[in-house]
Amino acid sequence: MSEPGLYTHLYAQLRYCGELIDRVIVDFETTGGSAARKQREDLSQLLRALQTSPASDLDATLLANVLRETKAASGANWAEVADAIDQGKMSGGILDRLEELARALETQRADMHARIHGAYAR
Amino acid sequence: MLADYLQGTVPQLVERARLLKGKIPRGLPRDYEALIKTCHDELDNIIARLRELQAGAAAASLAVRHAKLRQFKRAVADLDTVETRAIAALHRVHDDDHHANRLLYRICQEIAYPALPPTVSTLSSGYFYIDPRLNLLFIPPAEGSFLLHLPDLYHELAHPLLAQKDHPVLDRLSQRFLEVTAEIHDYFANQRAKETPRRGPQGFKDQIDIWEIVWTKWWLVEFFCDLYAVFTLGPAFAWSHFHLFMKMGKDPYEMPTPFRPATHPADDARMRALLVALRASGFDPEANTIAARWTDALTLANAAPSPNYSFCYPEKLIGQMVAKAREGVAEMGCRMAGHSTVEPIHLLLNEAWGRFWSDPSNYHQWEKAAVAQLRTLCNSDSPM
Repeated sequence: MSEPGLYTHLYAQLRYCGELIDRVIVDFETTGGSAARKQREDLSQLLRALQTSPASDLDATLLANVLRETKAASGANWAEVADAIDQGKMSGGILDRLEELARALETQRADMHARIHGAYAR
Repeated sequence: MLADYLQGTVPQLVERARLLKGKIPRGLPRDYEALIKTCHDELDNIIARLRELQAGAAAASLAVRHAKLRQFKRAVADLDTVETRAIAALHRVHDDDHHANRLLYRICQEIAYPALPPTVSTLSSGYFYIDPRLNLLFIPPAEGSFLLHLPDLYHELAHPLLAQKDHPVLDRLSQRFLEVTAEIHDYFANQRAKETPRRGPQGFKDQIDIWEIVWTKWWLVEFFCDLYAVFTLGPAFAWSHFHLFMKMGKDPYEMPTPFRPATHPADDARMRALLVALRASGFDPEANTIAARWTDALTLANAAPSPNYSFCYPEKLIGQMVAKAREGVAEMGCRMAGHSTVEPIHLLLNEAWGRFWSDPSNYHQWEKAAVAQLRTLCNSDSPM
């Protein structure tokens, strides 16, 4: 009912999506994509939903909103990014797209955390 | 730099997490077992993630260092949340918390709540709110001694239902939620399509974009939680909304702008949805009474909707949303409130509002006795 509750609800989603992307980035860069297989599958599925039908998945809906609000990664073809993740062929361009999305999510997550805990008090 | 920084700070944070484990009080009643386990699990998870961050940071590529920094910040935020919410709540357990936990457990039994009942703390600094990840619900310290706002517990109970994934029962509500999300997109896409040939002002088209975002990002969750509450409790929840508006409400027709996105839907739109839901549940006379009082409240507020209000909160979309939410709540097997509902807490919370309006001057006296009765009921082991 109150603001902290609503922020907390959204926070959990932002945190989950950000963590998922970063796990995949770190895995690809450090092991060539051999360790985080489940996360890779989850992320490619999520990005396909984002490209084709964001309203079919709660997290894809969130990503679509974050991208619209921040205007990040405009014009990105998320199905292509998903294909690259599935095939384990992460070019620099694909990595840039993922990083841009991860940055947008992190900015909103940090903002939400600050709101939940009573702004930026020190 | 990052590797050196993590080298110095990670051990400190791991120590902090370990210290917090040791701060979890012993001998607490069973009400807190779930929260204690959540704290241990979360802290173990944070410690593992922090240790993982240290590995290979020195030779990492720029993309990995960026990702690791984000992961580090999330781990710190998680630790902060566990410390300032969960551990703080466990540390300050009070008799009022025990009562609130027993009350919530009874409510969950009455409505056939389809998930683990949350733990309640009376440490709230801002009305009612729930942390779905910790499954921890905060209410103000004195709230357990009064009845008229307790219906908001039912709203909070809905948040975790929409936050969990891959659950065969809860997915039914999420599915309906997604169907409404699709309807929202369709509705605003149609609005945009109508505007394009007219070459109307760009400002209005931008407004449509904002409405679509706030509906799907913020409002639909709140609407669904309201609807879960009204379908499982009945008129008392709509009265509780009325009560909150009278005490704290701002503009009942508030509209989002680019500078003020409005995280909660307008109070009037929320009440309209609640009234549709009450009528769908067979509470027509009650809905008529509440609607009349609401009209009075709006008159008193001396506010008027902007010309775009009905575009932002269309009747048809509200009706579709109510119907889908009702299907989702019923499909989860929750007990739907109706005139034949006889469980004691349901009856008491609805009776409270009847008493409040029929005899306002003596309500306070009646409530005192009713709260004592409620405490006895919650303390007893009797079946519902």
